[in-house]
Amino acid sequence: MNKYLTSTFIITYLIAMIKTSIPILLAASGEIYSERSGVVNINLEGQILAGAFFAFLGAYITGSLFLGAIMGILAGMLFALAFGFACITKKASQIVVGITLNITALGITSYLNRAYFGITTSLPRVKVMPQVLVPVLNKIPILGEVFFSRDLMVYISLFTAILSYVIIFKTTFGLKMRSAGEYPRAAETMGVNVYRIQYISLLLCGGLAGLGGSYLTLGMLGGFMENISGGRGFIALALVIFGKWHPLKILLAAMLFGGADALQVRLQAIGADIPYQFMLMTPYLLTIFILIITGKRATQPAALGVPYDREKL
Amino acid sequence: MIKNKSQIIENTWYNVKKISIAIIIGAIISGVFIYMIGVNPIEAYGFLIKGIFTRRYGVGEMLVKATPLIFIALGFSISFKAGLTNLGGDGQLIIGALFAILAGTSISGIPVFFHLLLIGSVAMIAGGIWGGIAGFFKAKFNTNEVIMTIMMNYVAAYLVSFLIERPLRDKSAVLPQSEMVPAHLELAKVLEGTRAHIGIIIAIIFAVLVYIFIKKTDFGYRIRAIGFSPPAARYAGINISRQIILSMGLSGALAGLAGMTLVYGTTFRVLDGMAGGMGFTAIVVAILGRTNPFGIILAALLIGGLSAGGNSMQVQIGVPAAIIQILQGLIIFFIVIGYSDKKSIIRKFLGVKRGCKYE
Repeated sequence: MNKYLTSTFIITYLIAMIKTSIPILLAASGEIYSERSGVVNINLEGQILAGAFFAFLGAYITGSLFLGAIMGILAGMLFALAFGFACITKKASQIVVGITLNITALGITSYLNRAYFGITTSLPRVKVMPQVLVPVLNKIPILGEVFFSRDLMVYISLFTAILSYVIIFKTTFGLKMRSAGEYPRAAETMGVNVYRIQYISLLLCGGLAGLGGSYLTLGMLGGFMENISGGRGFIALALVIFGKWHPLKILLAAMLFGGADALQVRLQAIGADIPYQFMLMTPYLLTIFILIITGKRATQPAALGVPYDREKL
Repeated sequence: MIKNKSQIIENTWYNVKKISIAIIIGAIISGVFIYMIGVNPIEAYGFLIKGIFTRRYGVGEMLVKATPLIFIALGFSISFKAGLTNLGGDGQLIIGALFAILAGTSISGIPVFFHLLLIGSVAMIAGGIWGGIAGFFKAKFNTNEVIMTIMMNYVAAYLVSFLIERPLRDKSAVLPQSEMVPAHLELAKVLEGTRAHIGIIIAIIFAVLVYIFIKKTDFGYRIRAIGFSPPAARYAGINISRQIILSMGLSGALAGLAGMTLVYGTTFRVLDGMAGGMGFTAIVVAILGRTNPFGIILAALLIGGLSAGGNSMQVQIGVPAAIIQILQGLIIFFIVIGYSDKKSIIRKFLGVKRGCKYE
């Protein structure tokens, strides 16, 4: 047991926990906006994947991680825009359009990956994001190393979660957004442009999902693999339910989740005597467990998933 | 609703028009992707079509690819009529495949026909239970079946990956894979010189059965009723929980059967990652076929043809086969947009009533 409880193990584990949770945290934070405004963005998975690929491509071509991340955000937003056009303007089914665009995203990223990088044995790579030390705070033992010596994206993500709380619960825009998701007709009567609010929320969601995806390639792996998102979009959807559509609860949920996922990776690395497939299974089993315990008591926004039609009562 | 002849013709024409337009727009956008890598799109599409129709083998490949898609899409359409979305086709397929190989290799001495019947049933029960689990939790715990079925895909994939790497591994093989299907149990070929097997005929038979089931039986009526309006269905005395579990179970059973025909007709072993996203492609098929069993057969032939032709296009002219996924996604995207006017059945079935809760 001793080899698990050394301080290096705990510190590396906590760092892994934070890094693992970032893509899901960003995507889930985005999803809160879109679901609070009444749209279930099932396309989240595709937006993460698109963000991951285009961020990597951008960074690889320009040599700048920053421009790469911008590309990732734009790719996520582009998919969100297509999703919004079909589901908000054309009022198509959010589930069907979501699945469709996920397939399209998988196709586009796999296709361009093959076309640009070919099939090679060694992955084309970029350098992952560097550490950014927070002055003074990084000197705190353990805590400093775990929280205040991470890369810029970690700080941005944690800040995003807190900022989201303020936007959703403390601003007029947040109020409009929530009213669009609860009772769009009443919101519209009060002068809220429901379509516009839903578009903005969805674009924010796409951007954050794209940023989350770019962390997969630029912050964690430094390369791209086909279908690198591996169901994280759907896990994020489950965490939004688990965190009751509340940014801070979702922040905790994402950390918990990252913790479980990082633990299985650590145990694999140590060489625990469990087949690796069961280790890899744990995030998905955990999500299933979360879905089961939250199903009954989930109180989602009342108009969630129902396309709003201005002309029809 | 009683339709007269001219209405039916008008409807068919309307569908053909919408679907053709979507295919054309999809092909143009995909063409841009092909052009981007320096290949002439017209030439590439030429290879795609030639890859299917100028060779006997190509036609066979189209049937091979279409077979599992028909089964899974039929299953998806059953859950869909009940207002549920079963995205677990991949997992249910591979669980069905696993139990099919167990039933084939562990029992012997039964006449071939009955043995295959037994194997098929075992695969259906296994896939059905895997799908039914998601239905059970939907019915009893109000879990979101969309996320649930997707998570169960990963669980199934890793479970089978473990089993064929350790306990069920064919010791003589280099790669982790299950034992071979006994030679006498392989499904017979329907087209000489190709890989096409009688699975396609079984699939068509099942399409007819599903049609009858949905349209003509009480079971089917109840499933459609809960899909149409859960409160009304409950008022009419329908046991909603049971219908949810049943429709997810049936849906999974058909995907399980897809796994059986895949193993006994095409791969002859259970392989790692053999589902390969077929569950999602089947949803494209189901939507393209407008969740009508006969529409599904046609759509599966089209999508199956595209993937077969895509492979030959990749070999012949170097366009990555993933272009087919782009094409499929775009086609459905534009179909869904195209149908988003008043007449839209897709919208009626998918859009508005999704807001209904079962409770």
